[in-house]
Amino acid sequence: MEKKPLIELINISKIYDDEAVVNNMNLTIYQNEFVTLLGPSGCGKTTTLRMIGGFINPDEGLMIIDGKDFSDMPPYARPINTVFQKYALFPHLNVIDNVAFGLHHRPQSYLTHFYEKQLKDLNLSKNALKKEIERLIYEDANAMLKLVKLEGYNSRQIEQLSGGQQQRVALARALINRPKILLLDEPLAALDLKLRQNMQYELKEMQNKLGITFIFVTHDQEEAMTMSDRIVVMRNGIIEQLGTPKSIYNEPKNRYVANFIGETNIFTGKITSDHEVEFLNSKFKYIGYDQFKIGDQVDVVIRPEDWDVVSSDKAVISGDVTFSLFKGVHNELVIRILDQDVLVNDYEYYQVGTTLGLKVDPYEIHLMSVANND
Amino acid sequence: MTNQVYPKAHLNDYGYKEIKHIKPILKILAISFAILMIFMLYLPIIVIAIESVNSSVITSKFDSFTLSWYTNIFNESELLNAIKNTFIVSLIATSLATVLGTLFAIGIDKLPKKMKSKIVFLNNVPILNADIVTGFSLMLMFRFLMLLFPNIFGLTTLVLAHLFFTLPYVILSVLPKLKELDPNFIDAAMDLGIKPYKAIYLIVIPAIKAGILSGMLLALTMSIDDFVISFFNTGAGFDNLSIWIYGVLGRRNLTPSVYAFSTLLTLLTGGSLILFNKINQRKGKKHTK
Amino acid sequence: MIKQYRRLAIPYIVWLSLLVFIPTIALVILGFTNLTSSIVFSNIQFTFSNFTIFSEISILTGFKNSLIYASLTTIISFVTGYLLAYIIYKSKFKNKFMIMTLMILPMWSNLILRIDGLANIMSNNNILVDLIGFSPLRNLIGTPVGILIGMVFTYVPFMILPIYTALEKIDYNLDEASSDLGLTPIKTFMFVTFPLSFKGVVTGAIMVFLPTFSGFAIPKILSQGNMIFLGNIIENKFTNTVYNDGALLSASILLFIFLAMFLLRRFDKEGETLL
Repeated sequence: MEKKPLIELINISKIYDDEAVVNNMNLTIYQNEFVTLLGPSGCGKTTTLRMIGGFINPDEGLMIIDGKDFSDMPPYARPINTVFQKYALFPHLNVIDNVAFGLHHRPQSYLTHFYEKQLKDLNLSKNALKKEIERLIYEDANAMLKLVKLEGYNSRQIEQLSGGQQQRVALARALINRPKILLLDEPLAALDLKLRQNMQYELKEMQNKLGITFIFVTHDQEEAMTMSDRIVVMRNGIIEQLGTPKSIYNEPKNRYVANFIGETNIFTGKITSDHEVEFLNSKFKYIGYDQFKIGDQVDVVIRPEDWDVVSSDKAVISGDVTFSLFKGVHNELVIRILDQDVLVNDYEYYQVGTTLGLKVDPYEIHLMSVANND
Repeated sequence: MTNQVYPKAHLNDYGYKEIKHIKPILKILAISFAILMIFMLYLPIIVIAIESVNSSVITSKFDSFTLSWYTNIFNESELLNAIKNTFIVSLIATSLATVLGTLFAIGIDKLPKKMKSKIVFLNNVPILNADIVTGFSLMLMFRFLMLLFPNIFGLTTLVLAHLFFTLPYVILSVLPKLKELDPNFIDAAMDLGIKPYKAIYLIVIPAIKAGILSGMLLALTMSIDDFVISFFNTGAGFDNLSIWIYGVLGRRNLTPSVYAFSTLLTLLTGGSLILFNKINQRKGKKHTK
Repeated sequence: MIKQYRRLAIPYIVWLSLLVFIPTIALVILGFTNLTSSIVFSNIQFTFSNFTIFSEISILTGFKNSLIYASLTTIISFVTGYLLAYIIYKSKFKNKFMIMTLMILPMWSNLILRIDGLANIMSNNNILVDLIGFSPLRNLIGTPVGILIGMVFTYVPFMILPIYTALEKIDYNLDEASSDLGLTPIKTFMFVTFPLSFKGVVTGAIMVFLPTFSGFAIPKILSQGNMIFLGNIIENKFTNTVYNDGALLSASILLFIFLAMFLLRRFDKEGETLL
């Protein structure tokens, strides 16, 4: 299905103190998708988000929204709403006034258009129109509070709310305006684990239901993997890789992405034969990666959970367990083979000192060309 | 790399007014206004400075530039006396207010809520109260005490009176800093065996340093220039500068050395504050390196 | 354990009671007596007859003048002071200390000297005219405008500092949030910034109104003794030892002070803007 591009960043750069915090970035974001900007502190993800929102203007490049050049436009004119990291709720207003704030202060003409459907057949005088619109706004605000599961919190004061509750008010406050795009700046960072996981699920559900584009910023790769349709992995102001969670996890383009996305094994290897790579002094068959020729140096990526623990006769390589940790869902093992640590996740528990044999399926071997690494 | 040309979005299309062209004008207006205001604030000081170098005693005519009034300060015994008295009172009162005020604030901070708010309420009274009312009511109290301490009026009552209206400023400066102080610090200190009163000296005071300093500055400022309260609570001819000036002004034989002194004081204070600020800034920079 | 520190406050509680609580009551009571210098303490009598002073024309005029000038000064200080505080706030001057210094420094010059200096350049013959040929404030002495200018520019720092403090305390994100929700800078100011800075306005208004209402030095010098203000009346009563009348009038000022304290309690509980 041909998806319509909603936002296009074209050669966007932002420079602070002679340093390019965002460096010549090109990115297209489509309708109805959940995109995450992922990276460590200082990689430029928040700066990029703020440029999309209009809080910062790019030094170079174009910010195209809905086909028009919005590069110099202030935030209030953009069809975008933001959920801020520290929520930024108005302390002098109660919950429902916070939620209704955006609509409340729109000019009459805007609101008449906004509520076109509901006002269509009603023939109202100016005053009655005003009252009806007010009523509709507060009806929407109540509906929003219901959506974020804060029904009945209308007249609470902001300072009485917990972090999680404040965050939901912030969400409601943004969504009531029916933006095409919602920006979320590490909104779950301050929440405890259980709450965070709940919210991750709820946010994803909400995005599916509402059908608007969510642009999410986080440094937590698990979070990104759970919620996103696409992930943009960033480092030092550039995009290292862009793709679905699955593709990034399984086929990281380089060492940085591979390591960032999760603990993994990376071995230096060499192509020894047709679809055969040698590492750890053993030969393994692989599938795909037709771009590599015999003799090429490659980096081999194998996820810890992709190793199969087998009996020694079926094993390709073997070694002793040097580390074993019960992690609930699986056991984390480190097996020492030829002076290298091999990370293995397995359902079975093996004591330190046990000798284990390993094998891996051909389609679970991922290769990266060495030129892609630094 | 696409060469596509995108239409520019305009504020007008979205129901907003274009303000870009007004911005520079507003900026100029704002800066002019600010300069005008600050100029008006300092106009009297400029006049005083001009008079301090005016060789003519007639304040409406400028004869010639002279610095002799500055050296003449040391010849005016009444002026020197008044200055001396002012400094004695203000320095004693400010020092006492700073030390006591800090300790009191530490106590007040730990009071139960209801009592605390009552005390803070009463604490505000000296600040808000009209000088006349404060001056007079203090005088009443001291009149009563005179029955016990017959020679109280003079330096003692002045210091007490100044203490009365400077303590609240110190307390008001220190309390918010105390509020920010992590109670765990003190608990940790006690845990390490430090006695509570030593803990104040070692831990609390350094943490609220900024509040104490600004309180002290405020107290000194209020005390140096006080007129009305001092007027009602002095005695035995113990004039401070404000009272002396008020008296001399009426008699119209004010020596321009007063202007010289005032200008000196302003320059000195301004200079020290700027210096203090520069030192602080450099300290901050050192830490960030 | 920290509760031990409470004891430190006890001396101050005693002090405040002695010097605030009791004298205030005494003052009010005094207003109902007939105490003047001619009456010995033991012959004090209580009377309501003092209230007749409120019908005297001079007292009423004094009251009226003080009230009008104090109100006008407060309003003008509010407009100009808020504007300046806002300009400084928006200019992102990181250095609050320098701003405080700039505002406080004039207070280090003796008030009487300063007002006298203003009176100087407001007169027909003044030093500026002599030096540079003109004075922006020429011939304003004795006029209402002159008195107002004197009052406003002496007390406007008391309006600027609390407002600036209140503005500084506003979370910067709120500006962005408001913009994000579709509000122009002007609307953001009206519905977010101003309401959140209001407690500074209340504090500032009180800090300007009270001294101008009860002060006597500025009106005396700048009106050249031609206008009567409440402060002048009280000063006269006290220096002429008509203590009971002076006390009664002071008590009426106290009413305003208590009203002010009530307002402060309501708008700025923590007293953050009082400095």
